[in-house]
This record gives sequence, C-alpha cells and structure tokens, in this order.
Amino acid sequence: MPSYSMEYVSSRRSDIRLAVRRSSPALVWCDADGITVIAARRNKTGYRITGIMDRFACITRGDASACKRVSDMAVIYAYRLAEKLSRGDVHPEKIAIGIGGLLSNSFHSYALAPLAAEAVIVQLREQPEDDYIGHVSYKGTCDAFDRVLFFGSIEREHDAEDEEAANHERLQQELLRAWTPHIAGEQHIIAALHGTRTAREQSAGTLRETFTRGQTEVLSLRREAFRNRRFRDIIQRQT
Amino acid sequence: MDDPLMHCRGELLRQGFSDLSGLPPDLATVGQYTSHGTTIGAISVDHGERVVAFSDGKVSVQERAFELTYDKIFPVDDYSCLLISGVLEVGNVLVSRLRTYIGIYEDADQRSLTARAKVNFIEDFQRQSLSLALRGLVCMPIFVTYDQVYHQRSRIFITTPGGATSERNPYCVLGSGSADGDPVLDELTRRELKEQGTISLERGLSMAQKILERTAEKDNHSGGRPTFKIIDRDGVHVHTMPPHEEA
Repeated sequence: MPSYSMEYVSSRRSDIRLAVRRSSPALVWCDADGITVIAARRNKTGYRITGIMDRFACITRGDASACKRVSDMAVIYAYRLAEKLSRGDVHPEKIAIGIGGLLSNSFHSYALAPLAAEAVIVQLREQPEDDYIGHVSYKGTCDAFDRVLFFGSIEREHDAEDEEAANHERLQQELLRAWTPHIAGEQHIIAALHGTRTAREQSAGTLRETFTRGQTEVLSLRREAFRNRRFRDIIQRQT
Repeated sequence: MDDPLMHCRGELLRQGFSDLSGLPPDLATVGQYTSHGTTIGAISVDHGERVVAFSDGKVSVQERAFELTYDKIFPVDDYSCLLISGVLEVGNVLVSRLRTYIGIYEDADQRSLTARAKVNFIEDFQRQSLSLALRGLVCMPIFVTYDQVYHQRSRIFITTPGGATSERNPYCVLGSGSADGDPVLDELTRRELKEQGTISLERGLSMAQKILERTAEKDNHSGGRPTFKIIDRDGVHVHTMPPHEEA
C-alpha cells in the first residue's frame, strides 16, 4: 500500500476513534427479569436506544448523524427480514452483520465519508442464558457478550489516554461484581448505577458523574411479557 | 447519502408490482379468476371513542366459495386495522407493506406515526397499483384507526383504486354487499343519531350483525363466519358474539 494511502486510512481511523471516544457511554444488563439498557446522552432530542419490534434494542455511540443512520438501518434490516420471513425468524446476528457491513463499507470506502459510530444489538429471549448482546465496531467486526456490557468510556476530568483502559476495566469489574443472575424488579438498575458509582469512587476523581438525572435514558425489555406473548408490554422506556 | 427511511418507503411501494404492471392489456382476464365479493364495514360508536369493524368470512374464486372463515380485518399496528375488499392478493401485499412501513418509521423515531402518514402510504400504494386495477385486480381497503397523536378519536378512511381518500363518519360499508348493506345502515345510523345523539357500542355491534345477516341473504359472494373487532384508545380487540346471536 502506498504511504499516502496508509496515511489516509490512519487519518480516517483516528477521526472515527476520536468521535466514538468522545460520545457518552451505555450499559447493557441482562438478568432474570429481562434486559435493561441505560445510556447517558448530552442533548434532549432523539434517543440513543432504539427499541426494535418487540424484542430487540439497538444502542449506538458516536456522531449523532452516524448513530441515527446506523439505528435506522438496524430497524430497516429487522423489518425487511420480518417481512420476508416472520418476526420469530429475525435473529440479532443478522442485524449485527447487516450493520457491520454498512460500517465496514463506510470505513473502507475512500469515496464515502466514514460513519463514526459503533452499535450494540440486544435480543431478549425466553431464558436469560439465551439473551444476545452483540457489539459491532466502527470497522464492522461483531463480537457477542453475555450478562453485562459496558459500552464506551466514561468522561474523564483529564483527557489522558492511558487512563481510559484502566477506567474501563475497573468499571467492567465493578459491574460484574454487582451482577447476580436472579436479581429482581428495579434492583438491577440500582445495582448497575451503584457499580458505576463505586468505580467512580475508586478512580480517585478521574471519572465524572455519568448517569445523571435528566440525561439518562433507560429501556427495559421485560421477559415475563415476552413469555406471555404480551408483545405490546415488552418494551418500556423510562427517563 | 439519501435518507434510508425514504429510500425504504419507495422500495416498499415499488416492490412486488414491477413484474405484474408490465403485463400487456390482453392479459386483463387475470382479474376474473380472483375474488371480488365481500362485505366489510366500520361504524363509529360512543361519540367516536370506538369503532366497530366487521367483515364476512367468505372468499370467492369465480363463482365458488373458496373459504368461509377468512378474517378480512387485519391489524396493522397497535391502534389500526385494514379491512380488505376486492382482490385479496393485492390486499395482502398492502397489509404486509403497511405493517413494515409503520414498524420501520415508528421504531426508527420511537414515536407514533400520524393517521395521515399511514393514509398517505395507502394512497401511494393504490396509485402504484393502478395498472393492476385497470386489469381487474381491484382492491378497496377501509382503514380504521384510533388517532392518538392529534385528534384522540377513532377515524375511518376509504381509499379508491386511484389513490383518493375520504374520511367517513359515522359508518362505511364496502364490497359487493354494500349495495344491500349501505341503505340499511344509513337508515339505522340516522335514526339512532336522531333519537340518542350517538350510537352505543351495543347498538353498533347489533347493526353490524344485522348488515352481515342481510348481505349473506342477498349477496352471493357474502356470508360465512362474521368477524368483529373493536378499535379504541386501548388498542384492537376481537369481539366474539354469543353463539345464539351469531349471524
């Protein structure tokens, strides 16, 4: 590859990384009751968490316009699949691969502006162990997780690159410690927020308050409603 | 980059008809092999708080009854139903596309679509399939919805094969049975509105039942098991008539 081309790719990558790194974080939490997604946001217009059909959620992070495009495409993929097959045949892996293709194309195509966004696709299933959490990176690669995923990074008081990995690791550890498989009711939200608070205290002030009142959106996918086929009641949005 | 939602809307409207609309006019006979006869309708009750949607269950292919228990009232979202008269093949595609369209737009923006946006999609679909209508594949839907965004009341719309829409109040009947059903329902609703000021839910259901009984007697292509659905602020509910009252 010519040196100017490598420089161009490197520049695109660093631009995207910067945009993604600056955006607010989100937390995905699976438990016996269902799946809870908590996301911080800076502005009050639009949503960062998109509930799709009656069992999926798409959480995006990055540039606002890129996030909107990615979440719109996730919705379109899901509904077009449902139209061709049926709602029960729509698998989150397919949506994640579709989004991955979109992000990969935009990243590798020199003719297009890159989409500076990452996404997480979540699916609720009847049993907690079958829930799906898939992370799609800005390059289009997909990874699956279980139980808890902290997605993104908490804002820091000092913009020091070397602290980011340590903070992220600390937060993930705290969340896993707070996570229990049979937690009930609203307790999972409290436990999740407690985990982030503990991590913040341990970071000796380098982490800012992240999930603050008025700037946090919560979307719950309720397993009981899913089991009872009360699809209208599955997704609940709180602020 | 264009808007993916608008691009998807265009695709939904175009897809599926591209092959059929290219048929030469001498293949217009396809229309006579498809079903046309039915009775569908809707009555606005309780001061517009609810709508009673009703349909017969008979599907005819040429002069033979193909199905007697077909439900022609299709829920397209939590607060809307589409009633299909005319060719079911086109109607089923319309229902499927409308469900996808509403689902995509409501999920993408996480807010309810207005009744006008849904009706506009039906109008565009009808315009796109006008060439099919000219070949005999005519579909005439009734769109019933509870408008929770602006009006907070139920609304009834009919769309012609050319894509013109009109809102009907307090009732609407379509299909081959409408020739017998419409005058009866007109008289019944007028009398009820004059005497009571509104049509109650029970009266609306009884009127719907009466119309379906009448059209089953008079119209060859109407009959079978009737279906009743009630649309209100809580969503779409299936109403089952007691056995002794069934038409």
